Amino acid sequence: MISNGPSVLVIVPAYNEEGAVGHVVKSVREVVGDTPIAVIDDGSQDATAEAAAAAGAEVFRLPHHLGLGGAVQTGYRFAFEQGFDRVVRVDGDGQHNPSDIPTLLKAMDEGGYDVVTGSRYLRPNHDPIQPLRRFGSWIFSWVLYPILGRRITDPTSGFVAVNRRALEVFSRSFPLEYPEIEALVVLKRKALSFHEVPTKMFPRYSGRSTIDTWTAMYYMVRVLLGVFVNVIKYERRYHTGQRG
Amino acid sequence: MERIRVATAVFCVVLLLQIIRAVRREHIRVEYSMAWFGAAALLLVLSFSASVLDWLSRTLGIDDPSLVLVLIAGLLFLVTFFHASVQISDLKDNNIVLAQKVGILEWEVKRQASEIEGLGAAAGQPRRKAPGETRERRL
Repeated sequence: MISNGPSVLVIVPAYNEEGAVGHVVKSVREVVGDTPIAVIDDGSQDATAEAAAAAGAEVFRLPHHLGLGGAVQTGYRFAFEQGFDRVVRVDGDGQHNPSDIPTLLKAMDEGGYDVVTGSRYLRPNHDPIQPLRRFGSWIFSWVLYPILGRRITDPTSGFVAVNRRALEVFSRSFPLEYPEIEALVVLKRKALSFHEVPTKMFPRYSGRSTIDTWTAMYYMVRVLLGVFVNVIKYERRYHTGQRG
Repeated sequence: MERIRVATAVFCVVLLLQIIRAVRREHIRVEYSMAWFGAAALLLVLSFSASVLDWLSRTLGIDDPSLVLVLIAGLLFLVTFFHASVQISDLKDNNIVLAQKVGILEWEVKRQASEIEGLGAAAGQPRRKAPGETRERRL
């Protein structure tokens, strides 16, 4: 259970996850108790919203599909506007282990970090990981090293806890597609601190990933370009807060 | 007059007419038609200006003045497309913010409807169903 203290919101971005999202909400509920859980239904064509609501989550239905980053940012925007102190993001496909949520929050409290991410590679004898994902993580770790000045073991991890300082940044500016890696560069640019903790990852609870080989290649190029753009990004538009 | 210049002039006239038709029927907003009007008009003027094309070809070191016309047309369209991409990106950013706010506001409306319904039930009034209500928990 999460102890009393700063207010926490758990957000679950979900797109066509009717088979998994109910299980995710119930699993998270067992760990976080009365902590609110917000499922962001990213324009699903199936019964994701109904499954999430039936499991006891607050459901935010986007009028059309924005992409993962757009869904996650909806949760961040809502949390920031409602005054939440911390947000934990758990993906709606069931890959993240809710039992690790207190680990993320504890690391944030003890280390004073703005963002804490769960890394599947920091666990000793971690479960087998798809070669393509492992290769992608290795490439991005290598690319990010000179930018961040440190090694990130799991740059594609979406299992994240953020505090209010990071919420303020992300509620205004967050990458739309494949956001995790670009978000790390945003953190660096905004001088926010971050940390990785070992967490367990499961296979998808149901359904199958939409990322095939071609999508993975697009992902690599798209993210590399996004990282480059974030390194050279012009800041004025962000500071003026024109985007809501 | 070289055939390519005639063809360019004819194309520009057709393009100008098409832009005017689109603006009249509100298929394109006036502010977004400006770049296309400018590009088409400039090409039309150049296609009738042999001396300007000759000077440009000498300046740029291109043997055939007609190629200058093609080069300028290509550059103009690149600039126009880039301008359109900037506008599309801006619209997409605004669209994302709008979609997110719609999602949040819709949740807020349902929450308030549930609260009103709860108050009504507590006061013994007839039950009024909230539109599309599915939620069981509240923040």
